[in-house]
Amino acid sequence: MKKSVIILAALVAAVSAQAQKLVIKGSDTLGAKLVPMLAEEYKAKHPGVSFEIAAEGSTTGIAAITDGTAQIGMSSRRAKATEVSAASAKGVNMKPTIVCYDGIALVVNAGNPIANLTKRQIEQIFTGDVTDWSAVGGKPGAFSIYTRNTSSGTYSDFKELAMKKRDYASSSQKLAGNEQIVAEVAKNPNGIGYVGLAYIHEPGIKVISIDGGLPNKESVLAKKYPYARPTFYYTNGEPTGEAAKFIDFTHSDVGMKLIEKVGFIAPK
Amino acid sequence: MAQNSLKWLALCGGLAVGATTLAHAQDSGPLIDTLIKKGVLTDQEGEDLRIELLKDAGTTPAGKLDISSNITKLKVYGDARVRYQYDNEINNGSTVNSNDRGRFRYRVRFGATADLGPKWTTGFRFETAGGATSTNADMGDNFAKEANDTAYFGQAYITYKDTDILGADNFQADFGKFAHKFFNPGVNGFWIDSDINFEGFAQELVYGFGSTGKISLRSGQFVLNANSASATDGAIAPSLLNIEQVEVSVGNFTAAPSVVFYGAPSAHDAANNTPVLQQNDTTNFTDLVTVLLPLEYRFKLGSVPSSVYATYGYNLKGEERARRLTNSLTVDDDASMYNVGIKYGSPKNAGEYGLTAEYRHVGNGSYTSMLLDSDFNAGRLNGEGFILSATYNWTAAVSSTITYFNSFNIDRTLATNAGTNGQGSGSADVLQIDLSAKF
Repeated sequence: MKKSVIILAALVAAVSAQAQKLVIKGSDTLGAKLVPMLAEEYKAKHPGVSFEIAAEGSTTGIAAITDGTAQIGMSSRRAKATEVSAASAKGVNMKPTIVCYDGIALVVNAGNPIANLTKRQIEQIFTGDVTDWSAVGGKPGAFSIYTRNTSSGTYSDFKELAMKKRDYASSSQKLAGNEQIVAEVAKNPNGIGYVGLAYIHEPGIKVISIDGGLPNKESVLAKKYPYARPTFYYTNGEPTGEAAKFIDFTHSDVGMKLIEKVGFIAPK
Repeated sequence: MAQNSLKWLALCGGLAVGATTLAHAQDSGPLIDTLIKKGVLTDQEGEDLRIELLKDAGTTPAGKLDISSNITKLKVYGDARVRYQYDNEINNGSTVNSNDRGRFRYRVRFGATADLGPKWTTGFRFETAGGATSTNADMGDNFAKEANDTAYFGQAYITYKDTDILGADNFQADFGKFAHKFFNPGVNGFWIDSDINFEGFAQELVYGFGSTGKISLRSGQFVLNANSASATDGAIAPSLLNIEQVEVSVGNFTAAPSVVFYGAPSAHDAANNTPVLQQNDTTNFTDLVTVLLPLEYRFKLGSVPSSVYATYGYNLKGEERARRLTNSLTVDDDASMYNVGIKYGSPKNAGEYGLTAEYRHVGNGSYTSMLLDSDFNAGRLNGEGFILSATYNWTAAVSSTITYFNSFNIDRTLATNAGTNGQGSGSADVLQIDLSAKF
């Protein structure tokens, strides 16, 4: 009898532990640094909860909510109309919650003398209208353009915010994450790329201003920086259970401090 | 309180807009941004509203369409026409009708164009009837669906547009099967039937000058036959029709010197070949080099837009062509063709009407029946006569047209019955009464 009770208790504990696993998928911008840090802090306060975090791009996060393979989908862009209708067709009620704000920063090699570019020049560079730094006042040398891959929310946000939805230059190189872009730009004197604010303090790169403005708390919150954007958690309807608790934790004082620490801008 | 009411008003208004179409849902972005900026909505409320609009739009018919992200603009268009047509033909030397019939006919054209960014466009159009110069299908045969009722790909093309090519303000290149842009005034088009879709490659360069001047350089290389090697001439290159045009337009006046010629030997009209007459050119022909000068002057009669127009054309190889097509070494060749017409009105809106009167002359060696308007003299050579046409617009999209064609042979000794050797009937009357709707 005593043995049976112990086995039952073990089973209940196992099931309980299983129920407290939070699956979060999506954006590399959020999922490479911020959300793992939030998860660690959350786990410290809620020891029974485990996390599975996959940061493979915003598209995968939104798809995971539609498919029911994650409780929270991270996204650095808004869900597209086709994604919302695909979710609705499956009975999924896509619900966005703003996590924090980001400014897509333009980064170049630290040795590059260029400190400022105009929005027009950015469009020309990334669409391939101009191909050499000398065309924008820099030292002669062909641009090495680094972009995120097509499943990235930053990839499509940048296309919309900076490129009038035009196609990227055929010479551009698609990389999997912000860290890879930073690494490539840091070692290539002709490199140019874009990253979220959480990645601008890495060695070997520098942020250039756009029409004289740099991405910072004031310019992003006031929406004066041209490439400012909110980032999101997506859930199926209003978040419930452990997902709701984690989202509340993100917006708690502890969560806000972590957001700022990572380099993003916390909601007002 | 006032702010709260305004918020709900905005929310309801936004949802109403979103319920209309997906495009409207997406267009609501700036409105939401403004409401956030003014403090009417919080950022989170703005995001909730955006997604509600998308969800709501997704339940509308338009919202269920999933259009490729490569398409920057999609246009669907077409038209339908029902027609009563009376034909009467009397052969030369005969007193009885060789053709005396009334037909009810219809045509449908349905197409779409898709812009793929600022420079590339692709499109297609389905059309009834298989012939090059007609899109009409006859009704009848006890309601049977027959070959006549088949829809064909009338157009299938890819277009490239650019600026600053060879210094031009605009450049366009068309590849595939497409409508032409040649200046060609006349009822149904005089020297290019308006139903023709050319196949091949065409280019246009447009240069502006002065305040109203424009020069358009047009060139077309069109495939007629996929020739294969033969024992007689060994030609394997596709036979080509070339059309070149320089259109000069200044103010109300347009002139467009043009030339139409076979760019590679053509087998068109091959049925009329007689080796004795064409000893050096027995299977394929090069006897079409017609130079044309279409002209138009536009003016207003009262407040009604009107125009007079004319075209003169001359085949530099008219004698050779006339002899071959009439199978005679002694035929009097007529290498000239012309039309002259007047148009009153250019109906576009409901209640507007237009009248056109035109006279035509097409000599026996002047041109090719492949391109001529098929409603006048059955599209054949050796014909002249007049056309009267009246159109009334019931709405901007629905109109009625009555057109009467009267034609007769210029040289009545050439043809004893309809169509012999590419020459026209003795005389022909055609009456068409149309009801058309376009979208």
